[in-house]
Amino acid sequence: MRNILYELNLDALVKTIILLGFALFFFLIIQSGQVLTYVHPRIVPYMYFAIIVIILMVLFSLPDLRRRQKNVTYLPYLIFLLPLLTAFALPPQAMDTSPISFGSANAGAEGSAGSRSDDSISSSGSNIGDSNVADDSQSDQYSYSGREPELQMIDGSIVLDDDNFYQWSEEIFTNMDAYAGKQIEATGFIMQNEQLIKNDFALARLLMTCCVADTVPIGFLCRYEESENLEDHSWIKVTGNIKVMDYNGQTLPVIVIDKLEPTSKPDNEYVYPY
Amino acid sequence: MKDKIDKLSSFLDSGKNNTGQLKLYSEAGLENPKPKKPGDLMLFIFIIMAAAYFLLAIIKSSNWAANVDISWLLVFNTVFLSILIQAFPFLLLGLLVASIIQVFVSSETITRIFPRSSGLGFIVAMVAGVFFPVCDCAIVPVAAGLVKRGVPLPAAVTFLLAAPIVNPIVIASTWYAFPNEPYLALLRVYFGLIVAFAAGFMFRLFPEEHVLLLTADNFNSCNCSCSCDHSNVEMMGLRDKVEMIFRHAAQEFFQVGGFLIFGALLSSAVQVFVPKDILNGVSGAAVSILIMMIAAFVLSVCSTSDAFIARTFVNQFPMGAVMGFMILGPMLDIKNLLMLLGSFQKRVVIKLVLIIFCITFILMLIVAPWLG
Repeated sequence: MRNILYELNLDALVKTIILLGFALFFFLIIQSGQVLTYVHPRIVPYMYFAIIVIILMVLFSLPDLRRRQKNVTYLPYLIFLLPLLTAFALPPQAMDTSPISFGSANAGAEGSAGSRSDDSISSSGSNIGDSNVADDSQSDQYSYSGREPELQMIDGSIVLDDDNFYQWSEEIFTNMDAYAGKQIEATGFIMQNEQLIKNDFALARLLMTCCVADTVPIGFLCRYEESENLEDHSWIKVTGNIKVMDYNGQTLPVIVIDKLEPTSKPDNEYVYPY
Repeated sequence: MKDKIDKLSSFLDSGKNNTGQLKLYSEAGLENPKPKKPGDLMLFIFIIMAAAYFLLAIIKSSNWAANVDISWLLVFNTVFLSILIQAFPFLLLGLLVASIIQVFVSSETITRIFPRSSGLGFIVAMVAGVFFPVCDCAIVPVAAGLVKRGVPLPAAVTFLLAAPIVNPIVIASTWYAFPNEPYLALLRVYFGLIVAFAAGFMFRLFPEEHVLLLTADNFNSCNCSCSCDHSNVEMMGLRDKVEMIFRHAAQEFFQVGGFLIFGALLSSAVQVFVPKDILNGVSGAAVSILIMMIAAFVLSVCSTSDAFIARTFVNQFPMGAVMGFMILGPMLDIKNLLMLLGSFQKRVVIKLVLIIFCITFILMLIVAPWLG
């Protein structure tokens, strides 16, 4: 036993552990569906590719383990251990507002410290353990095809769901006059802002193009009479009519809300441009 | 063919004779002839983070502070990891391509594709990116691999800068991000190619002697321990070559991967902690262009998605400045810069950074009045 240890190449061993650590992390988050908290579903196939490459790299480097080296420094490898440490130790935290809009991510995190962060921690914390439970729902999310959803009105009203939120938003902002007065139904979270006219707020979803680092909030301005009781960042479902109006110098489509009900955060809170 | 075999044979022999092969890259650290500084820095960061983590674990487990809000740390960590998750596969892809070039493509072939002494080399360098649709983190190892294989630095620089911009995915995402201004996608490619060509041309006018780092320079003579002990050249079959590709890629991963991680750490820190207010209250074309270029550098958003970020600045900044963001971003950002430092001489990298920055700035200053 002592002999084996003596012959073991620690340098190669550390590298092997690091590589396998990343492969394992990728595999576990794909299995649990946590991966969608980090990146666009389009990235998942690339992650499988990475796992395969890493495993091949490890396999081909296995003979190194027997070649003992002297005077090895481990300093350069510490930086590789850092992401592994935080990856396995800390649960992922979805963004409330865009990190790109700088400090707002801070504000968002504070705002959510009460209700929201609790449930996101508990839901994500359970993921690695009960990956079986999560599996069923995951298969749907990975069948993501990348095709353009068709924009069709249902019974004369526009219904925004997870799959077409971005496409409908683009369409309505581009041809807003064509949709003026139309009924609209949408789910999103509330973003309040001092620059908006009093009692107005934005109904937003986070648009992810590649990963969490590039999420930006998109959505509609909403007008609602009893909006002072609403809590910033809470999830709501609204029904209303689109009104095109001049808003602080810009012509914008605004949802005048008839009905507003609180709802729960969707399984996947991001929307994708393609 | 004979040449190729000779090359491989010297490759293998030198590997066999060099007992310090592994020592080379562990001692030289990730990147540097003077390994002390970055190593110390990384150790410092690591210790800080480890200490913070254990502190956190203690705080969380004790009752008196059960409600401490750590969500900022979780957000920061999520952004950090997400950048790595989406960058690693592309980095590995880039490393594999670089290794394949190293092992399978002879110097002669490369020189034929990249003609040494004609403008044709530049044209090839600009177009090559279309057929290599990866983002900016994958391109650095490939460009370094090309230089190792004898491609002149000017053409390699043009390739390095042009590839992330002529990338079809990048063009498509720009198109998506600005549905009402499709010409922006074309202008982006056009201006990007101008900058890429001009930067390459500057390296042609003012050539550099030592391009690559010592560790990388010596690749052919020392650091690949692949299959050296059990094969000779004639026996060098496909399997050995494949083995060599993966071992080479693994080794390069540990050379440049650290820089990617460090870059991701810096840019996610900026994204989460720097308040947005510093971007407000900007006036003047020159200042706004400069600010957007710096923003592109600091944010280090992947070039396949930065158009969507650029779009959010449209109301705040003139289009010329937003274009500056989209031109500079793919060519230069924190993680990219650190990876360049992992492969190229510091002098070359500094020169490259200055050239890109100046050319982009001047070009944007000229075209800003037309863009509005």
